[in-house]
Amino acid sequence: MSKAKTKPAKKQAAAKTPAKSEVKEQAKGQKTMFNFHLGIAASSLLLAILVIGGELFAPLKDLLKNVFTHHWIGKAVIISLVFFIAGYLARNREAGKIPDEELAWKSTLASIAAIFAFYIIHYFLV
Amino acid sequence: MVDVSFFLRRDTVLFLHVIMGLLVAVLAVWVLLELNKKSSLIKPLSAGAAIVSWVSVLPAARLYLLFYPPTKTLIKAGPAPWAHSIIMETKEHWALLVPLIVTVAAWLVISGKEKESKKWWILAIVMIALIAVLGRVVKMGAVA
Repeated sequence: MSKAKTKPAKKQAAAKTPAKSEVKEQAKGQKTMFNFHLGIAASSLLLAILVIGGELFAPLKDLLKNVFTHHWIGKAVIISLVFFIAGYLARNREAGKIPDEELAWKSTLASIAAIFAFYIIHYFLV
Repeated sequence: MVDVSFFLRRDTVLFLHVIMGLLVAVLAVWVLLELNKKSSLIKPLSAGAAIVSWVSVLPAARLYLLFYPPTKTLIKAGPAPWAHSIIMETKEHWALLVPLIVTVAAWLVISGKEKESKKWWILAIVMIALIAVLGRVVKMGAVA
């Protein structure tokens, strides 16, 4: 008798508590207005490219100066726009081989390291 | 009547630059402390940190674009030109990433991924601390 009572109770509890795989699926399905992981991945890599490219290829720095009055303003405007636009466009993107979060973290750290390393090398070698 | 020119002066802008940077760091530390308590303050604090981080670019830009060039000339002609060529160049570009890092951290908190936001808050704090140290080194380069 008691077994008969507990079995449906267990079934009910199981129905209320989603399995781990279901939770993961739900998390995957949660969409937000932005995917800032991809926004910062794109922006940080672009910043490193603009910094290094601008120092090694003068016309790029001049172009930023001519369009935005100063290369620093140009970089600030471009990476901010890319951050929000890429974040918005990628809002529904399914994760690829590399998880978005990992891509964002590694891109940001790589950009930070690349900028510092570049200016050291540029100072001593160029 | 508010004297707008007060907010454009070098000393005011420098003060705002430092205070806003410090405020973002304090808010980030506060969020990290509140994360462990599951506090209801986390979301407004995170949003506040993101907003301040973006607004802080304004005094930084005025300071860098308008008031730094004479200092740059002084540093480059002095015994420590690396203070500009390495330190300031790195600082001015790292600073552009801070609002993005803080926004990612705040977005994670607001979308319910508090745990994932931790390392982004820590990165923001570390970046602000490093930028402050670099700023100090640049100043030392100017008076060397």
